[in-house]
Amino acid sequence: MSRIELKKVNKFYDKVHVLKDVDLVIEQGDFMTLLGPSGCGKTTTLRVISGLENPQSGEVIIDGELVADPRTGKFSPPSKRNLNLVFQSYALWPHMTVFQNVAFGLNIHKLPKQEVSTRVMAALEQMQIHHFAQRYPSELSGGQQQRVAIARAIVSQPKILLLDEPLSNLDAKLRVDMRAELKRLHKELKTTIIYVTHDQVEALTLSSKIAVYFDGVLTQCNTPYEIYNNPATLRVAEFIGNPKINFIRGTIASLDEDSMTIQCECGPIVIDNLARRSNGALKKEKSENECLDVTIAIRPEDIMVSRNEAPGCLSCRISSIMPAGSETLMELEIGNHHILAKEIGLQQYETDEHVWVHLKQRRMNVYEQKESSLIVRAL
Amino acid sequence: MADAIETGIEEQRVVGLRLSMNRFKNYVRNPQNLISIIAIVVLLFLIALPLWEIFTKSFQLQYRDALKTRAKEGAFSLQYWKTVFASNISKAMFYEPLANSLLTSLCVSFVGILIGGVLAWLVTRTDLPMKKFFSFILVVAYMVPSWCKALAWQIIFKNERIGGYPGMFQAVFKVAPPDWISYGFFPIVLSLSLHYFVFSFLLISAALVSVGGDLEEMAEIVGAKRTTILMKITFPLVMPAILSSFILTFSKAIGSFGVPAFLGMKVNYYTLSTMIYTNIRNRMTTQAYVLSIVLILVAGFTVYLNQKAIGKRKSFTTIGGKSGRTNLLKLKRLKPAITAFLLLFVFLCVVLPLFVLVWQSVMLKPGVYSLDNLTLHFWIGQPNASIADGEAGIFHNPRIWSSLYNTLKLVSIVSLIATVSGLLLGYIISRGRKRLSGRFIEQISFTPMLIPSIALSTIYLSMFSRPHLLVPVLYGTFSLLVLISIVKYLPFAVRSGTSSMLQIHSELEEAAKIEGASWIRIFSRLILPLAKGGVFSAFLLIFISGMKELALIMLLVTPETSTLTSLTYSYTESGYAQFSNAITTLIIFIIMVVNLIARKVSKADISNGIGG
Repeated sequence: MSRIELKKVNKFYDKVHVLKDVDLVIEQGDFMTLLGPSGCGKTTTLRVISGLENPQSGEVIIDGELVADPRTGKFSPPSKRNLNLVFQSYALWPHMTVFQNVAFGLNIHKLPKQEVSTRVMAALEQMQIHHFAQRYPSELSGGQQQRVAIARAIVSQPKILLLDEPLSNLDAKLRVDMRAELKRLHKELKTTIIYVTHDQVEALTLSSKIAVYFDGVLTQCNTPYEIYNNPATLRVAEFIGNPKINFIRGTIASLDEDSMTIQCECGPIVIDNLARRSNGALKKEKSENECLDVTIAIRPEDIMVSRNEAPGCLSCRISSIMPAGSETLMELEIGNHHILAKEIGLQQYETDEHVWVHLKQRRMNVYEQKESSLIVRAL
Repeated sequence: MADAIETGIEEQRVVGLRLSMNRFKNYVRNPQNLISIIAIVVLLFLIALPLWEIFTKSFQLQYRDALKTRAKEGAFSLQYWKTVFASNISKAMFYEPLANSLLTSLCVSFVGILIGGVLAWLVTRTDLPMKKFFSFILVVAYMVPSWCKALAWQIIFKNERIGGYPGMFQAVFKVAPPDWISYGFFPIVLSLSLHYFVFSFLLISAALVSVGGDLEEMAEIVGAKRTTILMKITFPLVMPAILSSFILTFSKAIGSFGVPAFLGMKVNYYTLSTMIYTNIRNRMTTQAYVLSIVLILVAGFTVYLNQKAIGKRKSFTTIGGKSGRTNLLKLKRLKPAITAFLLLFVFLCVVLPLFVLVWQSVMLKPGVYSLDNLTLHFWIGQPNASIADGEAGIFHNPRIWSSLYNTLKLVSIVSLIATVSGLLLGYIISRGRKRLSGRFIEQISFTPMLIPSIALSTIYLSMFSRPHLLVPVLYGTFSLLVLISIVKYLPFAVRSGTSSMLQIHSELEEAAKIEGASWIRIFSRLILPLAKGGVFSAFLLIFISGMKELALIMLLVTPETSTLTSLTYSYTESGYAQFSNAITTLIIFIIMVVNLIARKVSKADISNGIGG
C-alpha cells in the first residue's frame, strides 16, 4: 500500500501563495503526472510530498501515516517517507563515480558491502549503464547522466518514485526514447510514480492520471483520456492538445429537452444528445439567464474539410496551409473568424481555396463563459 | 455540555503545546538554524559590540581627566570630541592628518589607476611579449608588503635630517636628496601607488577580458578608428572597473599604516592612522577613539560608494560573457621600447627594493657601500657586544625565533579558523539569502571591511583590556591576536566561502537528504570535497595576508607575543636597520614559498584575494 493523500494543502514562500487548498489522492501503482505551466506549483507539490518543503496548512498522508501536519508541527524527514526523487538537474555528485553515487544511500543505511554492490549493479543494469560504473558524471552524456540519476533513485527500492521534469534537459530524440524507458520502468517496478512536467505530450503518453495546475490551484485531476476529451475549464482545454483547440463564442438561442441551438459568429450550431452530455448546470444556468453566453471548444482533428458541399457544412477560405508529413494543418477563415483544422496525411489544398467544413458537434465541449465551467461534454 | 467544552479547550491546549514543542525541535534539529544563532551571537560580540563600545567611550570621561576636573569617571563628556575638532591642537591632531590622509589616498588612487590601467591594457589588448611573466611579476609586487617598499625607499633616499647613516643616493652622489624626496607626501604616495596599482591592474584587465573583442570588432565594422574605439567603446565599458578600483585603492590607502609610519612620522608628517597610533602611545586613548571613528566613517563611506556604484553597473562589465578572440593591437616599432620600459618598471618596483633590503641586511655598518663592509653577522652571527648592542644574528636570536614561531602559529591558526568560519557562514548566507538571519550575517560579517586595521586594533585594545561577559581580559595574550586577525579576514573568508557555496547547487544536498544523510555527513562528504579548491585558496590567501600584517597587531603585541612584522617595526624604530631588513627578507621569502606551493598544488591565485 502506498497511497498518497494531500488534504487542503497550502504553501507560501514568504508572501507568495504557491499552493492553494490542494486536494489530491494518488493511488498505489499510479503514474500520476503533475502538469501545468511553469510556476504553477507542480514542483512545489512534489517537494511537499517528498518532505523537502513543509506546507503551512493542510495534511499529507502517505500509507495512512500523517507525514506532514502543520497543526502539531510534526513533519517526517524525507528519508522516513520511503520515497526517492530524480531532480531536474539530476543532482549527481560530481566528485563521486557512478557507482559511488548510486551506492551512497545504501551505505548510509549501513548495508553489507556485498549487498550494496549487487544492488547497485542490478540498478545500473536495469538502466543499461552498468559498463559506466567507474566513470564520473562529467564523463557521461546527458542521457546517461539521466539514467544514473534514475538508478540512484530506484536502488533503494522506494515505494514512491518522484520525478521532477526529468526529460527537460534532453534533446528531442532522446526524450522520446526515455519516455518508453520510463513506461517500461513503471511496469517493471510497480511503484507509484509522481511525475512533474510542463510538456503535455509527455503527460498524455506516460501517465495513468494527470493533475493539471494553474496558479497554485489544482484544476482537474483525471485520466489522460478524460483530460483530453473533456477538459474541465477553458484554460485546461487551451493548455492541453497541440495544435491548440478552437474556441467559438456564441449564445444559446433555444434549448429543448434533448438538443439546443447555439448562435455563433459563423452561424447556428445544433448540439444534441443533451440528456447524456449535460448535467443539471446547463438547465439551471439557462433558467437564470435568458441569453446564456457560452464557448464551444472543438479540437482541430474534429473538423472535417471537404471540397464538396454537404448539409450542415460551413463555407470558408483557407488562409494558410502547413503540411507536416503525417498531418496537414489548415487555418480556415469563416467570416472574420479563424479556426484550425487538422487532416491526416498530406492534403492537396491551395491557399485561398474555398472549401466546406463539417464541425463534429458530438465532439464539442460547451463551456459557460463567465465561470468557464463545462456544461456540455463531448462524447 | 460544559465538560465537552472543557475537554475541547484542554485538547486545544495540548495541541498548542505540542505545536510549540515540535516547532522548537524542528528549529534546533536544523543545523542551519543552530549555526545561524551561534554565528549571530559571536559576530555581535566581536564586531557590533566593539563598535558600540568605542562610540560610547568617546563620550565618557576617562579616569585621568576625571581626576583633573573632579568629575566622576565615565561621566558624559564632549571633551574628547572637542579636543579633536575644535581646540588649539586640533589642527595638528586632526585637520592636518585628515588632509594628508585624503590627499595621499586620492593621489595613490590616481597614480595606481594610471599605472594599473595602462599595464592592463598593454597585457590584454596588445601584442606585448612575455605577458605571462609580466602578469606574474606584477602580482608578486603585491605580495611584497607595502611597508617593505617604504623601507627600501628609506635605504636609498634617506638624508641626514633624521640622523643616523646616510642613504644610498647620498653615498653615491655625495649630495643629500631634498626633504620632499626623502620623507612625507611624495615617497608615501609613490610607495603606496607601487603597491596598490595591482588592484587596478587586476580589476581592469579582468574587465577588459570580459568585455570581449566582438563589441570592439562591431565598432570596427561600422568604420570606427582604433582610437575612437578605445575612447568610445572600450573605455566606457571598463569604467565600472576603473571606478571600483579607484574606491578600493582609496579605502585601502587611507587605512594604511606602515608606509606613512616609516616615511612620515619621523618628520611629523601624520596621517589619520599614524596619528591614532601616536595618540595611543601618548596615552590619549579616547582622542584616538574619536579619530578611529572618523577614519571608519571615511573608509566606510567609500566602500559604501563602491557597493552602490558596482551594484548598479555590475551587469555592465559582465555583459561580454564569452570573450571572443580579440585582434591584438600591433605595437610595431614601439614594441622594444615599451617592453624595455616595462622591464625597467618591474626592476624598480619589485627587484630593486628586494635587492636593497637584502644588501642592507648584510652590511656591517649601515650606509657604507663597499665590499669589505659586507657581513653575514645579522643573519648567522653569534652575539657580539661591539655590534648592535650584542644582538645575535637572526638565525641565533631567540627573540626572532620565538617571533617566527608566533607568526607561523598565528597565521596558521587564523587562516584555518577564518576559512572554516567563512565556509560555514558562506553556507548559511548562500542557503538563507531570503531569510533575515542570512542577510544579517552577510552584512555583519562584511562590516570589518569598513574598519581600517589600525582603528580595529584600537577598538580591540579598548574592549579587551577588561573582562567582558564571559570573556576574561585578553590584552597581551596570543588569543587576542588570533581573535582580531580572524575578524579582519572574515569578510574575505566569508565572501570566498559564499561564492564556493553558491556554486554547489542545493539539489545536490537535497538528493543526499532524501537518502537519509545527516547534515554532518552532507557537509563532510559532499560540501567539503566540492568546495575544496576554494577552501584551499582562501586558506593560502589569508595565510599570505597574515604574514604581511603590521597595523592590525602593532598595538596589541607584547614582547612575548611579538611577530616578525612587529619585530621589524621595533628594530626600525630603534635604528637596527640590518635586523629589520633581514627579517623582512625572511617574511618575503616565506610568502614566496607559500605562494609557490599554492600555485603548484592548486590553482589558487592571489588575484582572487585582492581587497582581502
